[in-house]
Amino acid sequence: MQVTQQTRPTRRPTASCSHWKMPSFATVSSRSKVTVADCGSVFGVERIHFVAFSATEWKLLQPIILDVERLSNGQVIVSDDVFRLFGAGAGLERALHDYETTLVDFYISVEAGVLAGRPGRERALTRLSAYMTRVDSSQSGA
Amino acid sequence: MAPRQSDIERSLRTKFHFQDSLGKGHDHICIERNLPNGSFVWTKFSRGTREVPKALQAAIARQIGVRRDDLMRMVGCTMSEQQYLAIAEPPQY
Repeated sequence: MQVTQQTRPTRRPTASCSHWKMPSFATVSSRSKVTVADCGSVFGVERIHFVAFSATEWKLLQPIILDVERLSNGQVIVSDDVFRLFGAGAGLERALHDYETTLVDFYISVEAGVLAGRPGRERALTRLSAYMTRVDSSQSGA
Repeated sequence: MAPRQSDIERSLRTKFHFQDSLGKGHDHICIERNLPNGSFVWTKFSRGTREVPKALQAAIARQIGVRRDDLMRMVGCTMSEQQYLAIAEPPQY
């Protein structure tokens, strides 16, 4: 797990981020069952660690740091710096669910691009594979 | 007035030659474009025609390697495809 000093929380989370738990991980979303941890703020930017998929077919191999942006209309946008992906929705849970869906869509798209010989996809898939993998259903007990 | 997501998508497809990405998206429309340096950019849109607020414009712009005001120029037809390819910042992977 790659956690730098910069990503450590500097203050207690706001009331809207009630799933604070440090240092262990916490399941925070009943709707999406996306697991995040380490809610906090760095230089005024709210950050969380995406640490597990709700979808049982996928496994996250290392956390992805997400910036959280809360809009005045209640919309929330979460985004990462690794793949430049984002998720949006009415509230954090929906935004996280959207992000998870996007991450899976991106993986499937890149994987298909590799098979089709499209340029740049192999490098992207290598990077993605450092963060996520499919779960072998025969081993997952599903 | 904020652009609609269908306007942004249509502009990227018709003027900047973004294409459907391979693989099946969940609830999204996913499009991508190869960049000259052997990299590519990928972005997604929700289905629908609602207006895209500034923060989402910025997130979409970031995915395709430009700033929000550049994306607005792309949608407003004041940026050419060549100009876009010259400034698009490839992702770090």
